[in-house]
Amino acid sequence: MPEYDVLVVGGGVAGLRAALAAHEAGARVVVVSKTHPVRSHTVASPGGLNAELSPDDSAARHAQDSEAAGRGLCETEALTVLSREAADEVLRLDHCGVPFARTSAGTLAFRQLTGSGTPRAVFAADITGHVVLQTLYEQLLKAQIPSYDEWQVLSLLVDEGQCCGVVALDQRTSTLTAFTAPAVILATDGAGRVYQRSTAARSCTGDGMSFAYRAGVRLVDMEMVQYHPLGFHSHRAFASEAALAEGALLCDSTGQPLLQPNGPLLRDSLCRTMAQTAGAARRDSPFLLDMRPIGKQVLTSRFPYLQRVATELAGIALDREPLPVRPLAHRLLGGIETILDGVTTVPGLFATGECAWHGVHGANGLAGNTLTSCVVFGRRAGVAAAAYAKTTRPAPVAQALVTDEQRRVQEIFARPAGEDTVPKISHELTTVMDAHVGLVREREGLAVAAQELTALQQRYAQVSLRHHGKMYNAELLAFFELASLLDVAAAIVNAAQTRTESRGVHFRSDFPLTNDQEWRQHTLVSHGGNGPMVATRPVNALLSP
Amino acid sequence: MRYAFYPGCVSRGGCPELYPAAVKVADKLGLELQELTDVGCTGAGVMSRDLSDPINARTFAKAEQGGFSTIMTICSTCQGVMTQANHRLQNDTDYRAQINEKYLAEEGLAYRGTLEVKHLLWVLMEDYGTDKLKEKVTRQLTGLKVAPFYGCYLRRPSDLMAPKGFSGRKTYLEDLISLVGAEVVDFGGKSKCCGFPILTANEDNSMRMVSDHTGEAKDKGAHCMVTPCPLCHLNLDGNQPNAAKKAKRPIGLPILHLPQLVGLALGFDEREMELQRHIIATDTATRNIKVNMLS
Amino acid sequence: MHATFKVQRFDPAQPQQAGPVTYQMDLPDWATIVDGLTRICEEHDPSLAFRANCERGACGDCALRVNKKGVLGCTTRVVDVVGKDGVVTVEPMRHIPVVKDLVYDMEAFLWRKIRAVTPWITPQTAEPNGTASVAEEQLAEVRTAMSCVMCGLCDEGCTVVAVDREFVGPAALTKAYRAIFDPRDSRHSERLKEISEPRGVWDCAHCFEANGHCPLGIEPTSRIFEIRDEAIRQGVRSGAHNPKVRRHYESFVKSVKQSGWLDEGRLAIESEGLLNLPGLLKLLPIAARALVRRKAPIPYLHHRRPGAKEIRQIIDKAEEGKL
Repeated sequence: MPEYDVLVVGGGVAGLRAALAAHEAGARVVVVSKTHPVRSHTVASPGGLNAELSPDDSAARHAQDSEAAGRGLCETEALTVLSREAADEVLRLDHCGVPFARTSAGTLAFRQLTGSGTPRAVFAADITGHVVLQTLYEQLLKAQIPSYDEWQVLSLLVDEGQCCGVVALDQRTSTLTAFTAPAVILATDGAGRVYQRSTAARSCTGDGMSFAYRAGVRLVDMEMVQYHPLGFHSHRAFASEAALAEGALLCDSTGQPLLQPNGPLLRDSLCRTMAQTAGAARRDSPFLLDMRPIGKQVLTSRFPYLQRVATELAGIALDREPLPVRPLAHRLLGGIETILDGVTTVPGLFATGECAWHGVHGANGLAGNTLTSCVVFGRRAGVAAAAYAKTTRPAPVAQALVTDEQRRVQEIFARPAGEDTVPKISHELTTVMDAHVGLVREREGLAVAAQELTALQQRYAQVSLRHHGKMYNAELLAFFELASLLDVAAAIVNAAQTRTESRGVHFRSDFPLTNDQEWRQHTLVSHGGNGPMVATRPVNALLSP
Repeated sequence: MRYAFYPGCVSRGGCPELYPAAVKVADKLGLELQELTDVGCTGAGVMSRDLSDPINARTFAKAEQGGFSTIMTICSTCQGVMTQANHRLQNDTDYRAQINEKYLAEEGLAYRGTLEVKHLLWVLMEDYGTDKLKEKVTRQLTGLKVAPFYGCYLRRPSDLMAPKGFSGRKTYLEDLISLVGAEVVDFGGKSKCCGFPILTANEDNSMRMVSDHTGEAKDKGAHCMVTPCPLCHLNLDGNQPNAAKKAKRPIGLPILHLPQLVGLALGFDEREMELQRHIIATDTATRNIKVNMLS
Repeated sequence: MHATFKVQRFDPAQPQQAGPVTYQMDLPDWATIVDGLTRICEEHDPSLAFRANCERGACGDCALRVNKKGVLGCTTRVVDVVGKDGVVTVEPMRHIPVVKDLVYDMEAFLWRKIRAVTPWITPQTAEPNGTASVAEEQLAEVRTAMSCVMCGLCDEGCTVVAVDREFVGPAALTKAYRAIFDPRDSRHSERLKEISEPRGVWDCAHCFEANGHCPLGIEPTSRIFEIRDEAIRQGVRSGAHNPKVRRHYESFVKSVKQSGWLDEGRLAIESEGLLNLPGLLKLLPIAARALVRRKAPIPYLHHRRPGAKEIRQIIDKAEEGKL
């Protein structure tokens, strides 16, 4: 195995951006990804990247809008960094060839997404994430950065408190290999698969969050699960919120537009309104997204992806009929505790992208900030990791750590057969989360969820594999992913139990009001012997290194 | 039924048997053909569309000038190229206006976008009609096993070549084979590429396609293949010996032109259909046709 | 809905056991092929290997052959494809080495070809220039080409890939299109030369299969035609390794210019090259056969049709417009 300085786990937008930045800073970089990079969940991000490029806009306004959306839980310094660096990052992406939409004058076009006071999001039809990912992948090829695709990281190598690499499993052969690098960047996306009713791809199982968590890093604001209002009724696809910005109407099941008297509702309020409206009518009653007011031409040029999948998955021709939609769990706004450069409390371990908490999304991320923060903080993490690697001697891999992992895998294979299966546990997990830890939470439901999760953890400790093959063993991979899902689910539940107020996307029917007096705090979940432990920390208390 | 007849280049070049066969068949059936004699090659998918679109626009304008509403082709490639060019010229009025102004105005021509281009196969099955055609068949080709080979340009892009309401075009060759009393030999390669377009760029791949498709049809029991495209014919027939040699297998499958198959059923003999010109001798196929004592 | 999935299984450790296996299941009406395969893994046979990720037709991972047609498994609803007998057949794509069941060797099939066309653009300036004006019309075409999710279905349906796995293929050519037609790229003519190398754009038989196979409506064959026309405009017909394609083209155009139609005999000779003795000798058997059968068009003694002059004028004018 060649020597590497920086190892990036995850080949999506944040991971690739970090890898490229580290490479540019002179580090020897390797990417290890459990899917091929172009299959990453980034492709599902349609809407756009906020950046203060329009002459009517400013970094301060962008930060302000983000702060307002975040409902008091954003870190001011993080927003300053985001809003100051977004423009450069977008121009850099354009320079490498991302085909952002242009005006008739040939300049970058901007979309005004919900919550932004002015149009500031660059976009590419409704496939923005996809073309950004494709372009970054092209750049990865250009830089000749090696990538190990379909290698699943099983654990971090941590020697004497310092992260020095990972152990990964080659899906093709199920063999384990240790990768050593003084700096490891986790860019493993969120964990939407803890919910069944979510927009998450199969890969979003919270692996990086779990690794960091078990290595002693805390997970911040895990109770903040943002729902997307425009999920398809029976599938994980969703319509870009940009549709609403462009004139589409969100209606109840009778065709009446949902009243938004004071202007468009931000995601948290909108989803809650939908949940309450649905609750009042029939359960699960779908809402309707009427795209017809947009007009056929704009529909085809700006929403080609949506048009296609609405036809294929829902059998709906968007120029003629409305699309049934409902809120789906979308993103975890919290994640691995980092400071601005993706540094964690474990030396050598960095985190960026959706798996990390950088402090920009607060309790309700501003639409259009997701991709922006992935590239802004992805770059910073890459630069920081490269700088760190330069001044750190790679620790020799303690062979014992690798042998431990191999033994662990063998033990898993050797477990006695039983009735329980990995998919059974996974399904029950998602059922519990959908039922009790969704848009509306309350004490009893959360307590039930906590209990059920404990039971599932116990079952997980015993569950055996039915398939012992070594080539592309999906059950084996699902087994490891389930561990991550259980960790993340427990963190979400415990954080939700701790925050006894409602703020942004976290709504407690037993504590329906926002309590700024006591709760301008972050929750921090750490891994303990007897289960998760939750602490709190005031907003803007600690940030820079 | 009156058509502006566009015979293309190969039907009087490398496949000189095709032109007389087509003309004789059309005559016997009573199709009124007026040949467009002063028009140019369609470009065959070789020439840049910068050149071929104006040349084809001129052909269309000439046909319109002659008072025709339909051009009839006897070559899948001509058919495909013309359909695509026509589609561009009909749907983009600005484009058509540009072409008219820049290239046709000098000659006093202008294409108004009113034409339809139809292959003889479609003319027979749609305009002439299968009932009427059946009546004209005087010699059932019973005993003859025929594999259909369309030629890609007659089939694709399918939204242009077999648009809504015309999905039957995907089986016309088989229908016609049955209509004339022969047996259809179905095989996987029937709407694939014959390899002719890449003969220059990659002879090996081109020959592979020939041997794959003729070999498959032969192995499935076909006595011959029938094709509506003389370019396919050039490769499948003319280059069959070469392809067989490269594939290291004997093939020996005669290839008939569409009008020849129809012509035989209409009562023309092999010499009249100029079958003797083929590289792969056709008598191994035609001798299977049962003699009909009652005709 | 009750469905019977007939899935092609293959385990390289036991190749002799390869073949279709049937699984019965009840699925909701909205279930997709990927949902069905997931159900098989979870409840019937955990050894089934297949790829899928986004579950919404955006990542390209789940390309399959369902009822003999190439599709994305996650946007194909079972209810739409199940036969009257309730059976749906699922097989791997053709012309790709299969690793196990429905998992292919994508490196051999696709990724190496994407790399081969130098897919990253080379910007015209060293630093980003935010104020540079770029035409949306051009970018829209690039964006459409880039909407490609690299599923490989176009390559799978390609008639040339079927006989030659080294042909670069419509997917890679669509990626090349992205770079060739991106107005911000600075290597326009070099790219046209590179893509004209053997196994490149001129090896495409332009049979339009790719257009019919792309699930996203990107029309790879149409893109390929645009690359060819642009290469011709720029005077690039082939790289140094394949001058025969260039000679063929030039002879074709010359013939039409001089007589209005194609002189095939002349085309055959000039493609080989008048001084290319070995090439010309190769033509002899074909020419001999054709002569014997009296179907050989005598080259150069090719009668000039009426209208030839006007056609020549059209070609001259059109060629003038090119660089």
